[in-house]
Amino acid sequence: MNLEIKNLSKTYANGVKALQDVSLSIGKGMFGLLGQNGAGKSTLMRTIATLQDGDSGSITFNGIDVLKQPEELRKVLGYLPQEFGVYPNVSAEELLLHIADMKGIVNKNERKEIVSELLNRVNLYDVRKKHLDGYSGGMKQRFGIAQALMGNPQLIIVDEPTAGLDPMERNRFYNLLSEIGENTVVILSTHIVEDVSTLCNDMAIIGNGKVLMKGKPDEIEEALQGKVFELPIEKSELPEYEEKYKVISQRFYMGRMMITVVADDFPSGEFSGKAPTLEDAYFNLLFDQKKAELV
Amino acid sequence: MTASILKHEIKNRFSHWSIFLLYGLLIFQGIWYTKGTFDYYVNEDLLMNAAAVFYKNLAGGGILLIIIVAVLTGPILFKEIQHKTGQWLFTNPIDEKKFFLGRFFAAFSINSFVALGYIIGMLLVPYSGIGDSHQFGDAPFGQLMHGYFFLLLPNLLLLTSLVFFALVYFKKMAAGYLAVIITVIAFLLMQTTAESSGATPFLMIADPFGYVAVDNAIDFLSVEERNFGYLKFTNYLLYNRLFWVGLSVLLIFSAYRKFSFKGFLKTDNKGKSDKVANAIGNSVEKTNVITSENLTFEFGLKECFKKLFSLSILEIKNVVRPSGFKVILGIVVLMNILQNLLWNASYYIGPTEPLTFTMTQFRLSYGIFIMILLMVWSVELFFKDRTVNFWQIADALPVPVWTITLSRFIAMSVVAFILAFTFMCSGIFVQTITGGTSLIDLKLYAYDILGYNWGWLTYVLQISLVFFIAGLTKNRIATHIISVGILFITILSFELGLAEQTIYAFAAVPGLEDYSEVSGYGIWTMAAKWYFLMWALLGACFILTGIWFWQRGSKSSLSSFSIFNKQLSWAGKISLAFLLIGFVATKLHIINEVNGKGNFELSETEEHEQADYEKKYSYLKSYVHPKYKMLDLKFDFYPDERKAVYIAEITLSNNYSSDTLYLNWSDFIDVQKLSIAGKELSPIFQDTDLKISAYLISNKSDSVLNVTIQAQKQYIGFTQGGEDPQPDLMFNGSFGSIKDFLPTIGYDYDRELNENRKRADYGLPKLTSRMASLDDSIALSQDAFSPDADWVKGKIEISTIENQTVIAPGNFIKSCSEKGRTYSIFEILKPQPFNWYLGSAEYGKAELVSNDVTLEIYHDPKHLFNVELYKEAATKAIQFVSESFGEFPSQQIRIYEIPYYQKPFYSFPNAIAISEKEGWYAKTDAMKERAYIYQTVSSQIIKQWIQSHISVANVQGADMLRVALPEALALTFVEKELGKDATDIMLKKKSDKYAKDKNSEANQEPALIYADGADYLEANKGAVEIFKLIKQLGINEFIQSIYTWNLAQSCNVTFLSLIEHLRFSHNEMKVENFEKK
Repeated sequence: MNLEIKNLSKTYANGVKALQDVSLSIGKGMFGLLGQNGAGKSTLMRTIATLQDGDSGSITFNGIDVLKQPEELRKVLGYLPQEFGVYPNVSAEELLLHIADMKGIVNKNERKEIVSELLNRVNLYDVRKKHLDGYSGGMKQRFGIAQALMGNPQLIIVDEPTAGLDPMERNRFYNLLSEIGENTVVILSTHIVEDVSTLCNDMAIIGNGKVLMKGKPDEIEEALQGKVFELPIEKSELPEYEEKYKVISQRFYMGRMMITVVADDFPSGEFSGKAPTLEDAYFNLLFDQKKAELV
Repeated sequence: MTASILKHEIKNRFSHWSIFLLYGLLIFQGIWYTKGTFDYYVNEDLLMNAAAVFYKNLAGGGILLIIIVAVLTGPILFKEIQHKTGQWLFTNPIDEKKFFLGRFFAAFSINSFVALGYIIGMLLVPYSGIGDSHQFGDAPFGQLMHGYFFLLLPNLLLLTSLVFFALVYFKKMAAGYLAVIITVIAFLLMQTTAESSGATPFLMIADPFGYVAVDNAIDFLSVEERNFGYLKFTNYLLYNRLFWVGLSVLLIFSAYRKFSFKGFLKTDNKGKSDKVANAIGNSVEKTNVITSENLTFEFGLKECFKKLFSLSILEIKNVVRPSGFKVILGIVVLMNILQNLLWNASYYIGPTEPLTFTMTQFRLSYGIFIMILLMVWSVELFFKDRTVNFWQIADALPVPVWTITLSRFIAMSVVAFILAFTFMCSGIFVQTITGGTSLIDLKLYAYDILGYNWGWLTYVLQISLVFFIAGLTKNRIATHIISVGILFITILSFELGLAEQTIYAFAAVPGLEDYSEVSGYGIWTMAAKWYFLMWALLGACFILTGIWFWQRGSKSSLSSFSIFNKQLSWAGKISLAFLLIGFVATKLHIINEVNGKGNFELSETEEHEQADYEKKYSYLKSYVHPKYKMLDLKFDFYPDERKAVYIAEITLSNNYSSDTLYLNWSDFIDVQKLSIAGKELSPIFQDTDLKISAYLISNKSDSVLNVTIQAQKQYIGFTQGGEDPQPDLMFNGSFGSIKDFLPTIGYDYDRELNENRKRADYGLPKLTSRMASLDDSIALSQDAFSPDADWVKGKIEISTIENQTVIAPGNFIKSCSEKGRTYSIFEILKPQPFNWYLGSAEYGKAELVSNDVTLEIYHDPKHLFNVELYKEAATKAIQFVSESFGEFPSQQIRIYEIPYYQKPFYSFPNAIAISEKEGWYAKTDAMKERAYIYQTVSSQIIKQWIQSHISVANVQGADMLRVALPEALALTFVEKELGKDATDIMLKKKSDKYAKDKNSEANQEPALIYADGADYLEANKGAVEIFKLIKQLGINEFIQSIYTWNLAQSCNVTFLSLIEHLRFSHNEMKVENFEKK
């Protein structure tokens, strides 16, 4: 079970290069796709999900040429888009039954069973008869998750799936996803670094339509071992440190600004060493990309 | 603050490029509507940029302006909900009432400014190229501004207030649109009702735009006033303005009071928090994982069809579940019931029996709105995935595009069916509660409301067009605009006469407005089948193309238009090609049947031919031609084939030894033999385009010529357009003049172009009169009923199919049946005017003998409603004639009900024909309707006497004797039989009719002694003036005067001679009213 993306490029009519020669090989399990807003994540997701054509390149999944045989991929696809709506005047159960039908589940009893199962899974069973226009944002998101898991998806694409979910629901969803990910390919697109680091066994960072880095989260973190340092400073001192060091991020801690610096050697005595996180690796990568753009 | 909001909104709106587009549209509308309104008034002296034309435009508002107002107004307030900006904007220190007023004034100001585009369009008419310079006067700025302030601005105030009221109370944009739609429907309801039954005080006040009152006021203006006058805002027009402005103020005041930031943003959250709590707290946890392995998946073609069905059901629910649908359906049903119960009841002459065809009229009056409604719903459903942003999920499902899209098309077709079926049920309901259960005609309901006659199948075709446009544009708003735009442009093009052929009106079939209770849809039934086939093929092409190009995912538009796009399979693409070929082939077949076989001509071509005829052959007017003198006719009707076969033995008088016989033929006549004294004639000249031929008369010295014509007339193919149902040969209800079958000799006056405005277009001199002057010696020698005939006698042997009865002039001698046909013989023993008619139809018959006269009434078998009343009126009228004039001219009189396609009344030897709409199915309990039946029947009976005693010269004033005199005598009869009140009703009806129609006189209205055949003049003003004379003299004295005058005449008489006789014999008589205009 493998998704192969080779040299995929896409340029929009307005000249924006959404994807530039993207190549990825994604196997069974959870695959995290990290990137800033506008990095090209959603374009890539939509292209894999057969909703958009690429200009060049190829995508294959288990022998299915996704760009040429979209109808074949759709039979094994579960897709949760970043933003989606629902029909206002139908209930969650009705719409899920309809989607089950569309996904090729021909037996009525099976449809009912799977829909009940999914509604329970996403905690919507009790409100299954209510019209979807009465649902809150989080409930709609859970409905979206349910529909994405419907049937027998071998490739699940979830684009920013936890937006609008409270912490409890978020946990429930990730547990569910991890469970499913044991036997399927799951692509999780997000800009929440923590989600990728805790869930995914493989990942890629994408920026300006290019794959900036790919690998396992722990390997990516490991690459910065002994190179990440932090220091509490006054806010007014930031420009000075930025000039002297590679400040990849700053945050406030106990009322003071804490900067994170990447350096091959210990910057100075005032800094303290820090165990690298995926977030540090991500910010480091963005820093390098920004710098390269300026050059 | 209010001023600041106002300024911001106006600046915001007018800095957007779309404002120029709106101005462009409104300028176009201003020019377009001016042309349409101008064409509505036929008077030759009316200017194209007349003040009245502009007043009418401004009152109507125009559909584009109304759409623009509907689209612009709502968002000015609703955008805070739509874009959720209210949630932060309303937290600012803003006075909510001032905010509301600011937005309201901004909306009203924007609408008022935008509407100026309409005014600009009207001002640009002289430069638009739609008329010649002589058709324009100085621009009536003052009147335009007057109309703008008193008509357009109050209407804009009403619409703006309504939208704001609806938004504040319902907090839904749809409520605003609905408010505008209901107002427009109310306006159209009043307008169409006023058109069919006259402008009543209720209609003039209840019309929200004041259009009916303006139209009515303009009707009473002279041409001069129409061109340059200021419309007086008095009476009902004033009341109308006051009422609607008052209502607008009330609405906005109520909305102002109600509006608050909290209230406006508050949504119906009832139960939502409970749901969330329930969802978290009470869900049943299951531990088993999703057992996908055990599921059965199928994706075959069979499954797709099954899904098509289940999807369609879901989509239907999507449309019908929202309360908006139920509200609209409720309103439409209510309007349908009201229309059938209140307004349709007043058809033609007054209250009408609840016939099925009056119930199905709703589909015509409101068809355009039903279609717009369905189009809007269709677009919303087709783009629903996009609108609610569900498309990314839906488009990634393993279902082919055709299944998803077709299910929506089917769903909309079912919704359309629900709507149509509701109309049918409403009609049946109304018929039942009004005692018309026996009149329920399910077949007609099915044909009209569920079929393609502007019914359900028409809706389905329109939905297919929307589907196609949605597939092409892939844009919801563009689909809305283009779909409705195509519908509007089509309808208005036909209304304005820019298009005349049904092949240019998608989904329309010929004759949809032309139902006759006697003839049904006649030839239109055959035509409609072919047109529907053509549109159905095109509709199928639309559906396949729509599927082909439908947007799935976010594909670029170019790739989706590729021929290799797989959304439509190759089998589908090949089917599309075949369907297109089928469409083109059907269209070519229709063009051949309609145009190729000569069944239809554009009005411009017809006018051109008329002008050509006059230019080429008016010299024939100065010749004296042979005339019909005697006719022996053998005539066979074949209604099923729309054919007549006949042999005419004609005796012509040739007192002036003409050496050439000029014959004008009607279309579709195939002359198999033409001879004089047995000698076959060949034409020395033949104009096949204008259908006139000339033959040399070898024995010109003979004063009598015996001509034999053996011919056949048969309509082949079918026609389009409601003007020409070819009524002389129909499947049932044939009725035609003898001249539809036999040639007119010499110059055919009926083929002249009569309207001066059009005459000028074709370079013909203006007519000072439509009839020859009183000193025209040739015209004086002609009989007014038939200038090419003396009074004629003869014999008619006529046959038709067994279940039909023939109509013919003369005394009925006998009839017999043989081989499925009925043969009848009629004789005209004494010479009579040659205004003879022939016909054939299925009839029921009522008979009685009164005053030695056998009276027979032939009515449509279903129309027994007023037969007794006709009998009563006719019997008394015969008695009246017998008593007043001496002996009734014949021993037989037959009254026939005929289809409404031709004139309302005909009177010819021994026979009277009355159009079906002149009372046969009217409710005649009230005096008004009874008086009308008495008046119309007696006037035709009196004509029988006049026609057989007075030989009227073919000059000015002829219709004062042929029409006005019998009408006036009928008024005295009505007074005698029904009393003064009844006569007063009829006198008022005639005065009103004259006052209204005189201003639509195409040329100049003549004095009555010079009356030249204008329908409105002689029958109304002429009859009333003669009635006054009768009252002055007394009926007996008047009739005695007619006798003495007529006896004193040695040749054809004129009305002038009657007036002179009256003046001479009765010094005290006041006859000056006949001499002044």
